[in-house]
Amino acid sequence: MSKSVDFYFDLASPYAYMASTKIDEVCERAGAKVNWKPFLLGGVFKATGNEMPARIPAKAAYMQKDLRNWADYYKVEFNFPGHFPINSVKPMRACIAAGKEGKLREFARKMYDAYWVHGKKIDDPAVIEEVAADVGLDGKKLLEQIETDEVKDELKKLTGEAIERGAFGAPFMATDRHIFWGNDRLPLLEHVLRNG
Amino acid sequence: MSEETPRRVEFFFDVASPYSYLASTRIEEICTRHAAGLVWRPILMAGLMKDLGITPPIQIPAKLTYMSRDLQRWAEHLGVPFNVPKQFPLNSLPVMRGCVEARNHEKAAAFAKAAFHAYWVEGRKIDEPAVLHELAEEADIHPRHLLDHVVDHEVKEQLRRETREAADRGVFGVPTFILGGEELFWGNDRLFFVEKALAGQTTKRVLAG
Repeated sequence: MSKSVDFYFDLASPYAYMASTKIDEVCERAGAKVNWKPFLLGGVFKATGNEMPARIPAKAAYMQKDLRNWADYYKVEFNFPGHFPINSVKPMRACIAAGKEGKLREFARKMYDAYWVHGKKIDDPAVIEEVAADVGLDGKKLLEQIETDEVKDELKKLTGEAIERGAFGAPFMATDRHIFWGNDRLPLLEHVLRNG
Repeated sequence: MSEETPRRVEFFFDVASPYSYLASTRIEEICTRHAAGLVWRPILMAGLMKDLGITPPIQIPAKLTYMSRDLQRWAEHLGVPFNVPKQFPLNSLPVMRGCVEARNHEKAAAFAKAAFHAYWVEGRKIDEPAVLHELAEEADIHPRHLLDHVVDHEVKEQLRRETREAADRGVFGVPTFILGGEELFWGNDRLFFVEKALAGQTTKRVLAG
């Protein structure tokens, strides 16, 4: 049986952004398949009693620097957006809708760039429409889809699924036997993929 | 601080913190390898979190479950012994006061390492006077002297003050490492950035010199 990793992400999380730039490469190196799974971090926090780290001023200040270190280390672009935090409900529903068109990964990546590199307000429908068009999707149609129960329920389902598997933060990675929390656990994920 | 040098690492720890334990098994070797000085800075994690309004990770059940697996993986990865003690969590107040007193005798590293090992490897009840007595002996400090001083007002105040001072410098959890008096790194998993920073400083020095 081939190995696979479920990668649960929320566009609002900077550490999920960091992980999104590496997850495919890490899994490919270890011979595993990746399933990108949109989930709602706010829902995870609420269900588990966890809270946003940036709520603590000292932590928020440190995070800025820590993220800069990661960006330099990964050699990826990163600019902490002026517009933070965002309500990621619509953007994450948009990821689900993009997935129905077979463009989940491509759309999510562009959304990550739009927010964590270019500081665009990705919770604004106009920006969602623009990014959708950018990956060859019909933006108007996507905005209609995100209002459907089918899309809303799918996001709820995936969020519940992650919580069920032990998630309390993002990014969250799960294999059939292991769970990992955090961009900084990608090396450990790779280790278990390689060594069973 | 005038005595600061860029090659000094301050290691803020609490013996109750398992990630502090993991860091404690590596920090000396890392500092030696990069020719950096090391200062052991005992602080009270519970007090720090309370002051800053941070929910302790063990109060989030999903986090606690995950942590025990994560710690096991780290211990295996680092090749260090690790056993979750029966008596968990630990009230680390007496032992952290012991660390402060040990530091007053320039035995901070020896006492802290003995305490980390006693708790995270052997599962001893290090909040009990009899065990503190043994730890003092292991660190070559007069046990009676240490036991008298952990209830001493001055030592209590010293731990409180140093915890507050750490918070003022931006520390919000343990382990934390401050390089050269200003650059802060949080977490055992960030020791790799600490190393990179130490190596970077070496490069700069070579280039400058």
